[in-house]
Amino acid sequence: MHVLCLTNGDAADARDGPVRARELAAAADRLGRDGRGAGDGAGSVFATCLDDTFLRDGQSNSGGDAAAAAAAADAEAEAEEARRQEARRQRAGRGGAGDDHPHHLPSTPDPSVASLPWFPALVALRVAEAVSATRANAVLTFDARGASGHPDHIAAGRGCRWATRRVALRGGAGDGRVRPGTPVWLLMTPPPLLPWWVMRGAPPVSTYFGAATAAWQLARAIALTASGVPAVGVVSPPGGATAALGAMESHASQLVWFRWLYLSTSSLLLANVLVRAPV
Amino acid sequence: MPPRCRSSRSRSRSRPRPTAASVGSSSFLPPVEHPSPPPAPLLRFIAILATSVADVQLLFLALLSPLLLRLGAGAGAASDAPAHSGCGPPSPPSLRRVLAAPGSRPVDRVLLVTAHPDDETMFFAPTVLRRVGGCGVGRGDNGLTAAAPRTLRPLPCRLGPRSRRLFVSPSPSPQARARGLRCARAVPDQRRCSRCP
Repeated sequence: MHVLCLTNGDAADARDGPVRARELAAAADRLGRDGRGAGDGAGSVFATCLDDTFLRDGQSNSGGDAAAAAAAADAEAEAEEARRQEARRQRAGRGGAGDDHPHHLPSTPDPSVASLPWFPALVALRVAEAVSATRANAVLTFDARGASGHPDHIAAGRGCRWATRRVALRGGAGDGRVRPGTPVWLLMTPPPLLPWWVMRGAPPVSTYFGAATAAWQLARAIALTASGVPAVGVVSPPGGATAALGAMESHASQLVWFRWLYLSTSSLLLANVLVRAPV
Repeated sequence: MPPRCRSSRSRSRSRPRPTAASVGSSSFLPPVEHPSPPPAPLLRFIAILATSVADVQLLFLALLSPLLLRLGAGAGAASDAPAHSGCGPPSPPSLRRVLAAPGSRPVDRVLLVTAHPDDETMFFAPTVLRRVGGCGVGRGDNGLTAAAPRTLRPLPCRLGPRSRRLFVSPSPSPQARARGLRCARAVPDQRRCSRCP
């Protein structure tokens, strides 16, 4: 199994990116060792962490409010221009060159790029490249509700569906290594239980009900299968919750108190229900 | 063939980035500097206790899941498993076979696409622990170990010089690395070896 992480999680601080990439490698190592011999799989777990200019962690958060994103970009651009003018005045006062070097670029990225949501075609391109490189014949990702409702999760799932549709239409890609009709399996999000205007982007409450929600999700998988929708329930192997906790300890920079609460009670650590996306 | 990015060397000078070796196997990694302090011992004890309770819940689910899977197989349109021979109850279809495209062979390599570096643990742990990837090379190695830096090489830049930075974790263990090196020697062009399914 190969894990493709579309961002390096540097939303809070750019220095977090390499740290979290190393943590991902350590967690994949841990999951690979703990899951050895479980189920019918015996492969190692490999991890790839992208650091793409146009796929940033938290970038999709502004996608729902384009006006606010544009206003923030304009404010950031004005602040950047004010900083450059101030620096020019200071250099002129010291007797230095009055103008900026024509090739000088601001150290901060273009705010108009940073405020754009993830472009599904770009996600699809990255996924198709990864499928070609790993010769994968199945893709797993989030569904349209993104497991926790995070916009990046939703954008990742949308991009994967784009990828398979484009590949299916083109009849393969990547020198024939991406097969047409590569199935995409989507992780079914637990039921929200509360209306969206109460949740306001928070994870579904039912996620925290542990085995009860997991059993409910497995029953939904059976109902979907009976109605002709391809779905499969994957129950964690014995000791899987402890193994997941051990792997999460590799992500030490993310272990804040509410993550401990999530790890203690989450149904997604007990069972996953995967639904095949229509091509 | 699309043009490759020419400024990758100068880019690596201007901004240091971790290489495959620096990000790779945990045995080569320097100790990770964690920006947040470790959790309080009491909180950690409570979490471990609750996770143990979750494992007990998992036991009930494990007892329940064969029944659910048999029901699903009986209802099922999702599997292309061979016809039941008639002796004993029908067995649930293999996960590899269920995940495969209709009419194709069972899945042997799975790509999990996530958005953040901890999503694979927080949301996909059961699937990752019951993973389906695996090449025939020595069982426990999917053949990408030695080939990872080459097969996951930086691909041609299509969106500018800053759009491509790949961090690759090549090998999880020295044993797996040794198996991968044997596979690479046997298959110098990084294609599938004869033992791959």
